[in-house]
Amino acid sequence: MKIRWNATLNFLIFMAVLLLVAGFQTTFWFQIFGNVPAPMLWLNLIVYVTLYRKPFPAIFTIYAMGFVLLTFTGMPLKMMWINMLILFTLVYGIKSRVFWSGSGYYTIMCGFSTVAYHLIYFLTSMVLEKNPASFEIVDRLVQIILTPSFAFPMYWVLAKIDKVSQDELVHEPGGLEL
Amino acid sequence: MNFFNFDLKKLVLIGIVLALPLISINMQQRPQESHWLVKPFSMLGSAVSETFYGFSHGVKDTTATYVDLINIKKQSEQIHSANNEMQSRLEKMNEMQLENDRLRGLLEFKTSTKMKLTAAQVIGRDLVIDHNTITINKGTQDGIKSGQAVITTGGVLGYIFKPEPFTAHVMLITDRYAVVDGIVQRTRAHGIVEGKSQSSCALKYVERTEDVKEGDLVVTGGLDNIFPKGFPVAIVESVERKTFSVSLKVDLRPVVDPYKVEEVFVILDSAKEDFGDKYAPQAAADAVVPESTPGTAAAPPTNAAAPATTPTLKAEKPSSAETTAGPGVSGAAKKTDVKPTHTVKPAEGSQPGANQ
Repeated sequence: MKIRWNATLNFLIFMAVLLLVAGFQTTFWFQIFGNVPAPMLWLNLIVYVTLYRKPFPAIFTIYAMGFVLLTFTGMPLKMMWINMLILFTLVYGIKSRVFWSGSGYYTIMCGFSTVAYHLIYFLTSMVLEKNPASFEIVDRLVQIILTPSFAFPMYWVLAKIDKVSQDELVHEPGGLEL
Repeated sequence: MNFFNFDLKKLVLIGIVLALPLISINMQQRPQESHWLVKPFSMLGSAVSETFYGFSHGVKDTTATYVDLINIKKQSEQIHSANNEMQSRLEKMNEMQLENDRLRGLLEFKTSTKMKLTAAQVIGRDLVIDHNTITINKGTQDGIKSGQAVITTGGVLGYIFKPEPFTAHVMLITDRYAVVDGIVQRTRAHGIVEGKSQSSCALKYVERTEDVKEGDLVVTGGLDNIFPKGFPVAIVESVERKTFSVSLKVDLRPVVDPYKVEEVFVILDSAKEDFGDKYAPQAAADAVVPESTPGTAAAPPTNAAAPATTPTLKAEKPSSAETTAGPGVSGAAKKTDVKPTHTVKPAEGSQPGANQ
């Protein structure tokens, strides 16, 4: 089996970036802004992987990311993976119908994903958890506003990483080619 | 030329010319007094001098004011900068003072208890808003283990659920996955404190017949072997008796605002410490009779609702007896001894009800 070094390196770099953004969100943001809800930078990373990777590597990467993210949260693994899978399906469904390259599309999708994530989490929590999540509307709204506003700089950084470490970027939807 | 034929005009002039020095000699003899002849001139001169003096004074004042303005501006800038520096120092001092007070409180708490504690600082919070956890800067390298209680001087904060080598995650009592054994301090009604939202929790599985009121303090029950017994957890915010439910619906507000805490204690060994006599409700403290002797032996427990190890009232006023004791508490139980009580203090940096 031929090892795809570029893809492996890219995967590892994305994991490192995930750790960085999760650390930024949980510690740095908390120290600077206190109780203001932090933007979900990790979600932007998930969206990027969903949009610019083929489905199978994307799901694999997202699961790995979910596993890494568990070190920063009290969320159980089942909730993390189920939410991510539903979110992936939604985002990929939209991508396979409407897609254009560039940071604008990515930012819009990040905004959509943030709203979708909160709804998905709320619903799955009601179904799967004994003590379901409370709505916390203000905090969720703040996150919905903040998260896409960080999408543009993140796109720039992530596209650079892809440019350096990958052979080519997936810029077309390409259907379900696993 | 006729000698006697002279010009009178010339003669008068010469006379005047000669007379003037003579007059001046006369004037010199009394220099203290101004002569009448000089007076008009001297007055005129002094008036002119005065005018010029006034003018020059004005010019000097204006110039000085202008120069002063420049100096004042410079000085003002200096003072302003010094003031800014002092202000920033003052703020720093105030911050240090607060930190000092907080740390002193922690130290006093640590020295006054027999529990084995380790202090830690809060460095982060949960990745998602749906879970209420915080990260502290102590880990397994500092002896932290999963399940250890995390408290502040004001009350229970949560427990360690994911210790890492250098950090540890604390599950706050407000997290939906957190459960803590709790009892209503006033009536000893037992229940389980479960997290609900970022700033609230609920006391579950409390029997319908139990006496629980708004404002009651819920303390740790000690059955979970994690928390010391009798340590404040939350205050009852509302109680609902549902018709078709066997248990009460009790909403709680934690005594410690988890997101305003900076320093915490992790209990390494609770040493079976009982805080039952240290945190008593204000109502109980008020109802204590004057002749009650601190430290006297407690009466034997009469039933489960009023164990002897907990602070109870020695003798209550008849009117308050019914309200302070739970439904299952007998008269004997109500008349047990009272130890000196303290009212519940709010946590460092947190006020009950100040959440979010």
